[in-house]
Amino acid sequence: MTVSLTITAADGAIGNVLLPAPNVVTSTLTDNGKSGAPAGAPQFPSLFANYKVRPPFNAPGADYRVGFDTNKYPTTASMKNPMPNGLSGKPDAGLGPNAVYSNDHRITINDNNVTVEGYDFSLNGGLLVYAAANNITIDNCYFKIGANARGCIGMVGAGLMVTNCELDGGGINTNPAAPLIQFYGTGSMVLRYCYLHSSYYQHVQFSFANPSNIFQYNLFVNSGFGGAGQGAHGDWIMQAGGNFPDIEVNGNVFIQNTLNTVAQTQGISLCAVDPSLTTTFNVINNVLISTGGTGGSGTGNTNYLVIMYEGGWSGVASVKNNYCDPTSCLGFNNNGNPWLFNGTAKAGSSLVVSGNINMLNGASLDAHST
Amino acid sequence: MTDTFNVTASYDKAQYNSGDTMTINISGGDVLTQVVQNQTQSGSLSLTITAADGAVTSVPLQSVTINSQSTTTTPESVKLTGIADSSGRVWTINANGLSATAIA
Repeated sequence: MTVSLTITAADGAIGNVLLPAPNVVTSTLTDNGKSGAPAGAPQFPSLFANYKVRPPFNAPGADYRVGFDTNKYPTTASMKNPMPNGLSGKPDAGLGPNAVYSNDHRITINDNNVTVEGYDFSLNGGLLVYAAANNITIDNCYFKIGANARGCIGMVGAGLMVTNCELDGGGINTNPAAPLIQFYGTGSMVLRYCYLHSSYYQHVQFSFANPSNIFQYNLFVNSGFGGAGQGAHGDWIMQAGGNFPDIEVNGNVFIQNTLNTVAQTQGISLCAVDPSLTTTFNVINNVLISTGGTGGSGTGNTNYLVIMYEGGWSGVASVKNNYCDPTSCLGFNNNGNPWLFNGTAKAGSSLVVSGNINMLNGASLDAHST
Repeated sequence: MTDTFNVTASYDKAQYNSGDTMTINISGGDVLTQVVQNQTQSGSLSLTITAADGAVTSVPLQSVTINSQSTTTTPESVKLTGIADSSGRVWTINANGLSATAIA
């Protein structure tokens, strides 16, 4: 198959250029969340253009949009103001009858089973939504940390689902120090179809006793604008202690592409602290990209793509079928792989690392050290 | 008069998924080379001949034709005016004549 181009010069002369047929991937990509994605253009449609190998599944942010649905909310201007009467008034009724605004730029949701939908929390200097009740859903909202320097979402209740939201940290140092989302509740936590970027600290931190923690079909871009030298871990996802029966990090895209002088991350960091409890930990079908510096040297911006302290957990862990660019991964050239599984797992535990691919050359990235 | 095309064409991506918009971009140009044949006539000559004894006479010479050629090169712009895809895919040439698109 060829493509023949006819070229005509200004004087009418005709030439010909022959191109090989374009390289079209005709195999069907695994859905991986595309069928349920919000409407709109993906953030990075050319993400895989220059890779030798791309993942066989649709990737959030590349093959479909994540964040707010642009059919419902073409721009943030079409969203509601959560404080329609100013900061001296009451929160909008859609935040629940007992929602309270406090002067630390926080709106506390106090009613169970509330769905917070279609709000622009970047207004009024940027407001923190604090889910203090149970079974709260936050959907199609926009967050941007501003002059108030507060985080975006906090959770102390039981059960929180955050879907179709964009959270922009703006690289701003929060006070008190906080990730974009802090899951410190007791119920299940779900983060799905969200776009998180430019956090000063972690994108997400979770702790305490959430029985189920699901991170699925999200796009995470550049965490750790505080830099390692300033004490900000800057993890893409950080488990910060507690017992975690189930941790699922599946079908997401993680990108770290700044110079390390701008932002630096530890990657996905899970370090369960109670090995007496069984944990299931899956990192499957993700895209993990670290570019912007040289791997294995001080110019890299990512410690490891996944760090897990094997000595601190008991159960089943899988790091499978992830498609990676470890170019700027600090650990990559030191031990030959971008993973760190530290210590020895409790007897009866299992760790499976398989099917992980380097998108630069198609080679396996399954080698790992412990 | 000859035209020398120095045109390259390339896809905008190394790989496409089905349904993607593919773009071919062309760059470069054409050089038109023109060779002009010139003919000029030399002037007629009159040769003065002097004998050993000092006698002088003149001999006329007819003018002759002098042939020469000059070469000029002119860069010219080019446009994409047609695409034949052996797969049957239909390409649309953009208005600027420098690119074309099709659906993968």
